[in-house]
Amino acid sequence: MFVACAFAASAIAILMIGRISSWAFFNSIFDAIVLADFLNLIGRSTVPAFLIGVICCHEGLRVSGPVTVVPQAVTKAMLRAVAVTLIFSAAFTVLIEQVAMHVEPTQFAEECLTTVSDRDCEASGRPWDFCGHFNFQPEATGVFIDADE
Amino acid sequence: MRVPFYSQILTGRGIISGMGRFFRYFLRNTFYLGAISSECVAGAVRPSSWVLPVRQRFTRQILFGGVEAIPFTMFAGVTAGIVLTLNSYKFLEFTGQIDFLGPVLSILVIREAAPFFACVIIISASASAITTEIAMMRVNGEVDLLEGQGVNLVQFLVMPVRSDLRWRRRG
Repeated sequence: MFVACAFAASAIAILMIGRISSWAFFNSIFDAIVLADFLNLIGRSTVPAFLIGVICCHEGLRVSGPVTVVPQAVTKAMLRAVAVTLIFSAAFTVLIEQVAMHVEPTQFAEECLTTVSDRDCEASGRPWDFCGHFNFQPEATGVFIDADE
Repeated sequence: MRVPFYSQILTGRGIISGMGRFFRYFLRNTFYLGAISSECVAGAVRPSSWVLPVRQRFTRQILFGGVEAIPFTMFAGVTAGIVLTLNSYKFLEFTGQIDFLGPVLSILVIREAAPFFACVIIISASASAITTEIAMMRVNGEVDLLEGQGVNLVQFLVMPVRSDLRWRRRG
């Protein structure tokens, strides 16, 4: 919901500026979204929510004494929740980037993937997707070339 | 009077011993949170744990922290979208790379702003309420009463809250 509202507001702002086509703007946004973005979004939203709930319950259950200690416990719980959220976000971003370096294809491999399909897309008038044609040539990426050669 | 652990580091019993105490404090709390998390997950996947009071509390948490926070989430999304778009547009137009506005915005919104704002909204909307509710139950003796009756506190107090937060991935 946050992402949808943010992109809708972005499109409205782009329309108000009026120097970029909103259709091309949306196409460039959807072209730029990859699997790592979704993993990042889900991981960085779900796990900190787990930790926030546990920390708040932990701090609440640790309270003992008069009622005046309750605001102190709330302050401590919120500070710890924010700290854990930031630490986990930083660690998860580093982890995702390290994983993405090994999973995502290289730029040269992406060129091999899109060389022929770009021509098909230009012919079909839909340049924002692969039109269902993948021209993957594994020997052209250099992955399978022997190092001794 | 009980003093915080970091004041002992500053007032002097040595840097090394202070670091040791800090790591012991950190590890103890981490293991404690891990133990509560494990028990919550184990209880959440067991259907017999979802008795009527737990379901009622779970529903109340979703209604209070999830549904009532939707308007604020939409407002935060619109505000963040406008601010990020205008700032990115100005900078990219200055550098002559205006074609990268879409990718930059997708990275900014999906990778950075959405998870951070989701966590901030959860903390601001629910964290203080959860802590206050459980702390007041503790102070008023309700938690002691539940413990005396043999009720599992993690199942009845912590598990509905955590399960609710898990389903509120509104990023």
